[in-house]
Amino acid sequence: MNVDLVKDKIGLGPDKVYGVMGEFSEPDELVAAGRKIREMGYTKLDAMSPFPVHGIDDAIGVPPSKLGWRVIWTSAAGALTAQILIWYVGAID
Amino acid sequence: MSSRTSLISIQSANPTGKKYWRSLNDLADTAGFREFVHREFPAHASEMLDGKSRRTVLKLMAASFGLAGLTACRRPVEHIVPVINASDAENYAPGEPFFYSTVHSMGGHVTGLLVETHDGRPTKVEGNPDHPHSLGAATAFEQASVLEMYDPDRSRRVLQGGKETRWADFDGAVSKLGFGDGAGLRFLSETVTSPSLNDLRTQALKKFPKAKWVEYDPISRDAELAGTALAFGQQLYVHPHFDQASVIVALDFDFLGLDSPSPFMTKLFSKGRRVESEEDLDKMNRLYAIESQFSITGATADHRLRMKGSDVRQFAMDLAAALGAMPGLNVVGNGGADKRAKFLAALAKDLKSAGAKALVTAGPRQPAAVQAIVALINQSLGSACVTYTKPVIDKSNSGVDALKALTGEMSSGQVSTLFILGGNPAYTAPADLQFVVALSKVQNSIHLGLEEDETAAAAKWHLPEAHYLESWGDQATSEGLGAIQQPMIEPLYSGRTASEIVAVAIGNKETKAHDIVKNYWTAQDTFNKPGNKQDAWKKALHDGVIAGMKTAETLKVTVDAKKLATALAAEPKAPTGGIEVGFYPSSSAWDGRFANNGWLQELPDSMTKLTWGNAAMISPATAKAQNLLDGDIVTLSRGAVKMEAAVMLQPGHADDAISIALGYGRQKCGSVGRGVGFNANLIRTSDAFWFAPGFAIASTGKKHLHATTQEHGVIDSLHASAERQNDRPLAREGTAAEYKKNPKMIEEMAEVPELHSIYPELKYDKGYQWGMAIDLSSCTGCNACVIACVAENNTPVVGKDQVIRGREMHWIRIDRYYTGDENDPQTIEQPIPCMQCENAPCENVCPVQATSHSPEGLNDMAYNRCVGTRYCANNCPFKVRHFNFLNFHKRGDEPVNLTVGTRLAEPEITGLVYNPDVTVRMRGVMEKCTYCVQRIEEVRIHAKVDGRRQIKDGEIKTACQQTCPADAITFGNINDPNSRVTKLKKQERNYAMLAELDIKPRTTFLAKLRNPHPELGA
Amino acid sequence: MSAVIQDPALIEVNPPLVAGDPSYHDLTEKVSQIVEGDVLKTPTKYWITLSITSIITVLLGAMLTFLVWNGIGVWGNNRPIGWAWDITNFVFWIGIGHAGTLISAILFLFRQKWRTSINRSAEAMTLFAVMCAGIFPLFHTGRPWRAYWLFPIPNTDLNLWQNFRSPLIWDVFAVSTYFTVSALFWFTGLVPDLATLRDRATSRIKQVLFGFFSLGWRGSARHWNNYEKAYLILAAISTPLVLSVHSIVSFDFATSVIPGWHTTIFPPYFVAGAIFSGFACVMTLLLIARWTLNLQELITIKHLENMNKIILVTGSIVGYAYACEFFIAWYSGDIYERFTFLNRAFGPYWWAAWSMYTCNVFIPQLYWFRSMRRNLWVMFIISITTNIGMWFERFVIIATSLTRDFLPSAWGFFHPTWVDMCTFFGTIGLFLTLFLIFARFLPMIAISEVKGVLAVQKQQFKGQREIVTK
Repeated sequence: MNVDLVKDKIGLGPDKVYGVMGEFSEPDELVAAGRKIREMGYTKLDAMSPFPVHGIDDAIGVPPSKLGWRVIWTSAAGALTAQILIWYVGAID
Repeated sequence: MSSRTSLISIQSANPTGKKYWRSLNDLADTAGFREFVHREFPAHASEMLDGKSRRTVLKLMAASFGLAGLTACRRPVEHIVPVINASDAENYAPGEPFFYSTVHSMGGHVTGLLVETHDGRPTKVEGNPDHPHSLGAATAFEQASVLEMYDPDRSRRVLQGGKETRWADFDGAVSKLGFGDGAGLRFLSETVTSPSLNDLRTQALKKFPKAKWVEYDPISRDAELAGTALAFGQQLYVHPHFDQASVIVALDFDFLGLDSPSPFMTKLFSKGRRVESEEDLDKMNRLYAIESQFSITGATADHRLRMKGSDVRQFAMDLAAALGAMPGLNVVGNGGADKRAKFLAALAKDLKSAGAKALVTAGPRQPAAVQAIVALINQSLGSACVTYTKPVIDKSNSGVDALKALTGEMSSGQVSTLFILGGNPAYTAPADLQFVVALSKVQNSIHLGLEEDETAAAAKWHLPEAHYLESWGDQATSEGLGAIQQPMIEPLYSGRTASEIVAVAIGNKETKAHDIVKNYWTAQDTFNKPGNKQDAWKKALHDGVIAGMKTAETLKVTVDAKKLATALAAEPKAPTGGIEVGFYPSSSAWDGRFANNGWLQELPDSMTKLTWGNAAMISPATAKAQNLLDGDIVTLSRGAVKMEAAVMLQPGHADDAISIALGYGRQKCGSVGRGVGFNANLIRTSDAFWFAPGFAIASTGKKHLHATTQEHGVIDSLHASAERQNDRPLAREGTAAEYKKNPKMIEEMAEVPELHSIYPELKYDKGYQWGMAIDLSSCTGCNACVIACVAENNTPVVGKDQVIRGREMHWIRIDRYYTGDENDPQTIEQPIPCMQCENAPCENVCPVQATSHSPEGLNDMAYNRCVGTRYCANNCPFKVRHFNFLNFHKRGDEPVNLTVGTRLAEPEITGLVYNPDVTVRMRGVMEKCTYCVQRIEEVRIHAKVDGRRQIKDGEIKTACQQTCPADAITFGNINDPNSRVTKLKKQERNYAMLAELDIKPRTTFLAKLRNPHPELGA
Repeated sequence: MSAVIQDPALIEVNPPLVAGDPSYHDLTEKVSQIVEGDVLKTPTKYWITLSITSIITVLLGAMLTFLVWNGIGVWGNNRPIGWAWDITNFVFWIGIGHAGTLISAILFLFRQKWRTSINRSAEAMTLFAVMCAGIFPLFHTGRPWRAYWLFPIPNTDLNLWQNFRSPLIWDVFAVSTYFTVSALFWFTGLVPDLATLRDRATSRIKQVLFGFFSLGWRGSARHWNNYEKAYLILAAISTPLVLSVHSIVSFDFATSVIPGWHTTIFPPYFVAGAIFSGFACVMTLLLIARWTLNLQELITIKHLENMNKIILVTGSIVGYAYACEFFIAWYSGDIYERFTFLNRAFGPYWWAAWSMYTCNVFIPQLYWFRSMRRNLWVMFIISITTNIGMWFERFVIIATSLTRDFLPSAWGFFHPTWVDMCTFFGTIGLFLTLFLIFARFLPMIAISEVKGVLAVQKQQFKGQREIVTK
């Protein structure tokens, strides 16, 4: 496989661009821009903002957070241990 | 050798003792300690134990250890005989308590006792069941006397003119005196009840014919003797048999309380009061009380008539007239339909119908006249309930008049040598006698006393007296039944007994109390029966009574009504008018001798619930008339005498009269009792010894805070008062008649809905299930149980300030409620220990399971688990849980001021009185009654050892039950259908307090039954 | 950014939550400058207040030492009053600790945008209040050095576990859980702002500190995505806690047998009371902050008015509970219950009861009038009286019920000692000290959240601006 070709694709080397950055003054503009670039087919996107911007996630394709499930399972486990302790303490020991 | 009567004779210089010593030397090798070794028990222990001295804590600990160690080997050198427990010297087991019999005498009343000792330390005083005047019970005073023995403020030095010297010097000085024919020689003693001392007295008076021996007690039985002298022409002791009487009249006679400092009369009375079956309801006796101060006798009475002490005489006359006992005498009283007239009529009728079963009695405050009239009334009624005996010990020269004569001689300089054998006359003598002044006129005044008290300060010589628990002696009851007083321990503070002093004075060879007593008794016929004297002596020691000795026979005497009538007519009319002040024994300090006893000072008076002090008791009506409020400090003055005292409102007190307890306001006293209360002796005069009319009251504008344990006199805008039940069915009562008609009446007093617990109901149906029944009918509220509990369970003394803050620690308290008119109420007393609820509210709120239920139904406390959230106490409906708010057991000599109140410190040596079977609780933990679980376990262990399966009913006695003179408390296995407690709980009048809370208390009450005369109503 | 011309009519209907239409940067500046200013240049009045409150905190320490050294006896507690000021103060502080989480969590779930500028300080207040509360259960025990026995730690000295039937154990868990969750909630909200401060930080220490605590926050969409989820979950967890904690505290009394304690309405009654007092306390602090740090633009009258509405509602609920207690006492026919409530109102503690009724029920009724709800002085005074009233409520319930329960023979009275007073005073000092430190060194206002609100607001008013400018 030709190494130069690869280089070209991922844009390394003196005269190549690393990435593009844009600044927007209002959230809705940011969202609009995000959506456009996505449609152009770019996938490696991110948006920085000083506050949560509504609709940005699906605009640039951030998958929904898995936090919810983790919390549910861990808290369930916690509750169970607590119950077992109480039962053990009260009824067994 | 049978284990029951075997001996222990461990010399005080035994190896164990020595060993203790060596270990101590290493710890604290100081001059103080060397002297300590030298004297075995220190004259300067006080300094050594002084928290303020520069010695290190370690050394102090060493000291206490030393005291413990030494006491452990301070069993008397002479042989003393334990009553129970296997106890051969060889198989003596450390930690096993021994019980020794001994005897106590106070104010002419004698009680046989058993003393529990642990490794040579007396720890608890019980009644001796074999002694007829105890029958197993003991009063608060007798029980608290063990603390008195350890009191570090007790006298420990021989003083000559205030300077310390030694016994040898005194012996020398006395031998030099030489009394010749005894013209200038006088003895002043308390009431003599000791046959051996009496024997010495006779010897002394034989040797010194011109000498005199005077007996004086500020509270005594002299009136009884004077009365009989007036009635029968000879001094006699009166023996009322309350147990045989069906109608009893007490004329100013608190025979259930302070007028009989012995459980004897309560024991007899309660026999006629007990209701255990249908028949008992009809057999129940009826008690009429006529009195000024509201006493527990008045509270127990079915009918009470309040009147000034001086009016009792007229009442007695009227009663005699109504009964036709005295010819030509008519009812005077304020006739008509008032309470007094109705009372008198009904009473007379009742007495007539009772005939031989009627009994009229008069108290020691009443003059000879009243005593004589009473004798006459009993005679005319043909009462079989009273007998008379001649005093076995001569009483011809006793009482206030004898003292008056003596002080006369003293001040006129006729007395060169005065032996004061016990007592504290400088404090107790009537004010007008100026005893101290008279004493200063005596060249050689020698005072033998337990304390360096007022008299010690005034006398030339002061000698430390040996406490009765640490010295040999003997006491005879008024019938003349003797008992040997055994020491439990060698004298702690190198004291001597009165008999030893007299022996020295008359120059006898034998001057050791043991020899004096033993030689006296073994010379008696009782001991000269076939069989050897040693065995008889041992038996006497073991039994605590001298079996089969000849006592005074009851005399057949009659009163000559005519002679008496003329005698009475001849009496000068006693002055009346103004406010009358009556003098009473204190339920804590007695006559002042117990002033330094923390247990007693903190013991709430049965009626007033007052601790740490006395007060001028006055009826609400009179208080209003004089516009006085509870706590006002007033001046009481009459002629030359006056005193200041704080007023306390006493519902039911006679109007225009003040009652004040003696024994307070001690100045030369230990740190506990110094300056507590007001000194009533300042206004007590020989002409008006018991009640004095014509007093003027003037308010000083100052206020005093009474330390009462039951909030006093508070009636707020809701008319709610802590003195009343406010319509709550707590302490329930009814009349015998009502109860007979409707036995359900008691149960119906509270509505108990159908009860459900959210927790599965626990079954308590296996093995022993402990329970208690308290009979409110029998209970007189005498307080004996409270002290028994304190002694048994090491509950701390917290001091006046903490009592005011509501932090007293008594595990059993006696609630007192008034009912009816506040000027003439009825009273009910209700002992409240822990109820040991089966569904205990305290248990499921404890976060750390420090209190939980035992399979036997006890509500146990794990003190070392308690973190002290106090949640259990909050949730206890009876408020019987007590929290150690401060370190009440902290050692020290002086109270500690925390700027937020003071905490009483506990002297090092007082630790020796602890019951080793009970944990001493630290501060920050909760504590409460446990049905004396240590006693339960002890018996359980013995049962195991004996290979017995079952514990017998009545084998376990809680401390309160054991000492109750009225046998009101019964404890046992409620799982056993035949146990006494189960039977009692079967009665219809048995009820559980606050049962509606579904707490299932194990302690239940038998409702109080009164037996009023139909014509007077309840 | 151009000055805003707004339609007064519209503002009347729905005024902006952020007044004066600042830019995002203005916001950051406004909040950050308080934190970033040179410590030495902090106004002296701050230092004076801080030193005063610190001295009071030291007093607290002294009192607690004195207490542990001598025992509970240095307080006025006695038999029958086993709990007095100690537990009163505990419940008082816990109650105050409710507003924070309520504002943060429940209002968040209800999408109440107006919470944004006050939630941060409210949460901080919660934490500090719970800290103060925690002092009392610990030190009211007779043997505090054994207090760890309240936690299920297997102990070797006595092989005993805790008693899970005891409400005190429930308390231990409820309060500790509440504290943990509130702390997490507060911190999570802080992270983005800490990042902002980190980015603006000039000194090395600040960079390190803020850098560490902002957990590498970059404000990426992914961060925000997880952040919002986490925040939502925490809100969801805290919401039941707000209700459970004080319900469980109320069980300490409700499950007992003592008349005046043994009442089934306690849980809702206590929760309402807690929110009531909590909001009042937030109100007090906000007003002071608003004046001293001139945050009028961020903490607007609208915020305050909304809070006053809640105070009015909860206050009235509490009033209803009082009435209900009396009715049930009468209706039950139970002599002990009846007496307790008569005694509460007309017994020796009538003054405590009536000051509680006045402060908690009667005075807040002023808030029916809009003018009162919007008057700064009125609301300041009411916020104070409310907390006085709520302290009395706890005292009346706890202490006066104990003074006179079943057996008149065991009735008593409570006199506080100076140790009681100084200890309570000391906790106030501790609370203020902590709050002052927070106000000076951490962003008092959730910058990112307010920006969010501001964004929405800009949308709202954009169209309108165009109309006006034509």
